[in-house]
Amino acid sequence: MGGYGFYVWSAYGVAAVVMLGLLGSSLAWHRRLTGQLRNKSRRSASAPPVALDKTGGDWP
Amino acid sequence: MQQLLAPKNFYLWSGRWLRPVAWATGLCTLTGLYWGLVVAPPDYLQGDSYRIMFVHVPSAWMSLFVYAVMAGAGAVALVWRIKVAEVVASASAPIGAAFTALALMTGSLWGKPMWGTWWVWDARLTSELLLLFLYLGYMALEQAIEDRRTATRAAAVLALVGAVDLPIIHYSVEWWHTLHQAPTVTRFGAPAIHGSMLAPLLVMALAFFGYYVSLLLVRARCELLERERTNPWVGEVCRGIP
Amino acid sequence: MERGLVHACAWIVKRDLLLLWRHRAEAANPVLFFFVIALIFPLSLGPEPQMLQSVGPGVIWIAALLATLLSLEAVFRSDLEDGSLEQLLLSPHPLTLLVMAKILSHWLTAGLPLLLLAPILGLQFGIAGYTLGVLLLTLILGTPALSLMGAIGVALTAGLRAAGILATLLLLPLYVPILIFATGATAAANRGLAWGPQLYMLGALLMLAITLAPLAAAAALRIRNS
Repeated sequence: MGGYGFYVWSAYGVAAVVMLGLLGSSLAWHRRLTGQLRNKSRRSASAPPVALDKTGGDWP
Repeated sequence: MQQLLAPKNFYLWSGRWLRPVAWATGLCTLTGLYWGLVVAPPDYLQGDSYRIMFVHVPSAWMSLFVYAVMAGAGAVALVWRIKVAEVVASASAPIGAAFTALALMTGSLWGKPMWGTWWVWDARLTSELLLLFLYLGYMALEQAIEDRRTATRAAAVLALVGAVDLPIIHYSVEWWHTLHQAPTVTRFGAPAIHGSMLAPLLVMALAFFGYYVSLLLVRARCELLERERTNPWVGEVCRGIP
Repeated sequence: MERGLVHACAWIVKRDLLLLWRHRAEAANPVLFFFVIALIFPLSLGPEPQMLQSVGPGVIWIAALLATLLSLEAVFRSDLEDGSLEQLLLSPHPLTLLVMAKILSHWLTAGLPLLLLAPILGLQFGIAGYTLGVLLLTLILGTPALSLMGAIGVALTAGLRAAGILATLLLLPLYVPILIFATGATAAANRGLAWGPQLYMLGALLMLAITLAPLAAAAALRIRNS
């Protein structure tokens, strides 16, 4: 790069790091979220419906 | 088109478009990189260091474009309270801030071999620095308010005030720069640019734009899931139920 | 303007001034801050008269800016705490105009004292009379603009943790044009160059602020307290 190699490659390097880093963390966020929400949804779907105790007895 | 504004529809629609856009962006990037780093000839004055322009200028352009989108989406969110608009605004902020920071860092790396210092109080760079603070302020305000919808709406007011002030800031900084320094030629990416350099620049600009769209969709989807998590469609979608 | 609205605004201003008077010591803080900042600069930069004269106007403007930011938080904080902010929001009068009244009282208690004390600092920095006059003109036009735009910042951050610092972060980029044109005018005056255009720009910024800032601040208050 005609003697300017350090500057040019550093510039492209920092661009790559920032842009790929942001992309990576965003994709990880999505993966994490969908995982959490999927589990939460499964648990609430399989859990028996809660029966409200209307007899006036003590709620355990 | 109106149906797209419903959160669930937007989530599914964006999910379908994400991959094609990402692939197109990747292709554009590789083309642009090869063209800019290998094919384009060295500059008469600046040698090979001018090649930094292919990341610096698109970053700077995108930093401004994203702010416009953020302010526009914010305005829509304020007036019509559309959740998708809120999510677009919120998701755009960190991306815009990243572009701005990138413009500053690459600008600095370009400036060092050209002017001998890592930083110059050039009108463009100073304006970019202030833009970075506008982004950071936006993000800080959004983080500080607990309710997400209120936070985004408050930040939208800030973004709009910033949008009105931006041209004023830019003009005042330019005036300030010419006053305190001899009018040196510090115009990066000046319009009088040779075709063999303009073409790869435009390709890279397109690549950066595609990157923004892809990343925006990813982050907007995340924001939507978080904000709508109590809504049943979220659970269904995450379990793959269409 | 109907009688009710004028009374409401006048009442707001009077109340704020009264509250300030009751907390006189606290009210003096921004003014003292103003002096301290302006004092620190010669101590750290050195006492050379030539240098002080050239940085003087800039330093005084920075001090005014920081002192204003310091006092801005108080505009809505105490109102938020004692419930009068809610009263403002429930009032039948247009919130924008009520906010304007609050901004006026802020300027009277923060901007005006700075204006009156700037000449003393000017003497300390050895600023020539002519330049000092121009400096005062910039402060007359600039400090209300600082109060007006500052109101947006404090309305957005009212009641949040570290509200003061957050508002400062939000406001600084927005304040830059005011700072640039104000110090540009005084620097020009110091060198015997034309300072009119800069002052016109300041005036234009003030006009823009008067028309748009109270609106934005009112919108921010409604959003934060909906």
